[in-house]
Amino acid sequence: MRTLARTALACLALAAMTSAGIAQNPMLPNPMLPNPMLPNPTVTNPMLQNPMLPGGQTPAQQDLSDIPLNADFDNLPDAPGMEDTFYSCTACHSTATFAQQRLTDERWAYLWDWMITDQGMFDYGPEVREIVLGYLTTHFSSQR
Amino acid sequence: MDSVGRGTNSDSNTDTMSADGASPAVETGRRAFLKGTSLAALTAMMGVAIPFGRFMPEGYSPVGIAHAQEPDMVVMAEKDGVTILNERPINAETPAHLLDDAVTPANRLFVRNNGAVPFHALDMDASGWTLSVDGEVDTDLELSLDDLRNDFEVVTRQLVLECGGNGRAFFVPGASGNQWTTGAVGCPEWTGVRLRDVLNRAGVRDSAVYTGHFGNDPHLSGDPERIPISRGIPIAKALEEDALIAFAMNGNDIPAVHGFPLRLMVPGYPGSASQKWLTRIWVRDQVHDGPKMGGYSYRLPAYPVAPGTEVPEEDMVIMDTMPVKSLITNPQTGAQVGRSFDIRGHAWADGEVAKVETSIDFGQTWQQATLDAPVNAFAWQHFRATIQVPQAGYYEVWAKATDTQGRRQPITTPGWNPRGYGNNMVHRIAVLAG
Repeated sequence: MRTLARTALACLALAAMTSAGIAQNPMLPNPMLPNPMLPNPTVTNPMLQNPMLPGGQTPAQQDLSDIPLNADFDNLPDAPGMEDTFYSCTACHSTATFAQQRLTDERWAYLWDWMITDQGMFDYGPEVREIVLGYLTTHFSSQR
Repeated sequence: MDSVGRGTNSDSNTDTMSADGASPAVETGRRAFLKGTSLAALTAMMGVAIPFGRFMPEGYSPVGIAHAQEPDMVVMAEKDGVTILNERPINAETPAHLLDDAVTPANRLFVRNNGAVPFHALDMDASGWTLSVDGEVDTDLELSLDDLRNDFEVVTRQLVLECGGNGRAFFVPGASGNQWTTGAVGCPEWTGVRLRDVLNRAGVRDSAVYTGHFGNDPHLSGDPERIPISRGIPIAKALEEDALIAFAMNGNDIPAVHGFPLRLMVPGYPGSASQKWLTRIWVRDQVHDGPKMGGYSYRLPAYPVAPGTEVPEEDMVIMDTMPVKSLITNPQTGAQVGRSFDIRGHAWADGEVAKVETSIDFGQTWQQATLDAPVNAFAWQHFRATIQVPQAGYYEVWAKATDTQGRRQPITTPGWNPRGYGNNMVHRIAVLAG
């Protein structure tokens, strides 16, 4: 993780030095895209639109709409990894704890390990880790 | 058999109402049972009203039943109109228009819990409660609630309480934690004694660096050896006159979910510094290292980072003060208004707010609102303005506060950070004027 961050910073620095002000650095997100304050384009009636609507959840919310939700599992997306995720996480906290978040793959991996090292979660081993992280990074991602 | 090691066959419905929550078959069976249960029946089973039942997804089982050992959602029966973000732990925020009161009533105050609500609080039983003060002090103290009331000057203050992650939901890419929008803030009236007076009674040694705060809320894992959260503040902040050890809120006992019978109120700092169900203050000779002092919790990158950057843990530094902010509490967003209409709201800062401005043209021009002085330091300040629109149509009303040090709210989200703290962008409401 550290190496990646350092590499990213080095790339930024390099791009800044060599660009002479015209190069695009793919590492830098365009601050206007997505515009976190942009009203949801699917809502046409402005009065139905809250200008303070959160933007942080937008990408994965669209993905979720294509996947059936399972009412037996707190309406989580019914997809591979759902049951392992449900049972390992709800031993301590509700599904809302993770289902309201849209995070990067690295953040989800960090949180799984943090739950074990800092919060006393049982270590279910690498196989379950991969299954649960696969589920979280598929359905609750800020990257896809 | 799934690989987590718990059965998931929903047909194995052997004992739907058993209290043995450890059995997976029972868990699923109970869920299957509840799926066909009406809100009214659930209400009867729990013995209390489920005021937010209308928000409950179909087939959803309230934690009070799904996890019979966790009855703490019962405390939320007092709340009115708040948005539940999480039931275990309980986290709930208040829509802006429901924060319109000058002094936030208990039923409209946000909830941010890290663990469960302790049983003594659910029972509202404060018998035998003591607060201990130890560490870098000349004399250890063990104070009863009566000691606090009788031996120290009792003061009443309106103090803003705000979660450090309020506004997190607006960061892109998403930041981890509860997705607070604007409602993890309130300004009740607190009664208690000054933290400073209690620390001075104990005698703070020169070696003191930081405080460490402890409550008795149970860890969600159920492990009695773990504590969900223990944060602290620099000793200089603790020795300022503003922080209280509070035993009353709005003239009554502190509600169960807000820390009955005793909590800290450290204004200007993230709410997590204001430990609920307070049992101990440990004066440290180093920066406190309790749970959620380290890692990424209540910490910001030491340098500006691009959104989405994976910041190494050792480059994260403690978030201290909260930024200047404002909220339009009337009208509610989406209101139909006339060509001339009144708006009002509150503004607050780590210190005092100097001015609040409003804009109806997406920030191109700003008009100064009328701003009240705070009733006491760290109380939120009320602002009001009469808005005239040039023609009928859709408008956004924006509010922007500036503190006495000249710091003002940004139009868009300020510096992205991994946990989404400190978002104080301007508040916007939509109105249709005509």
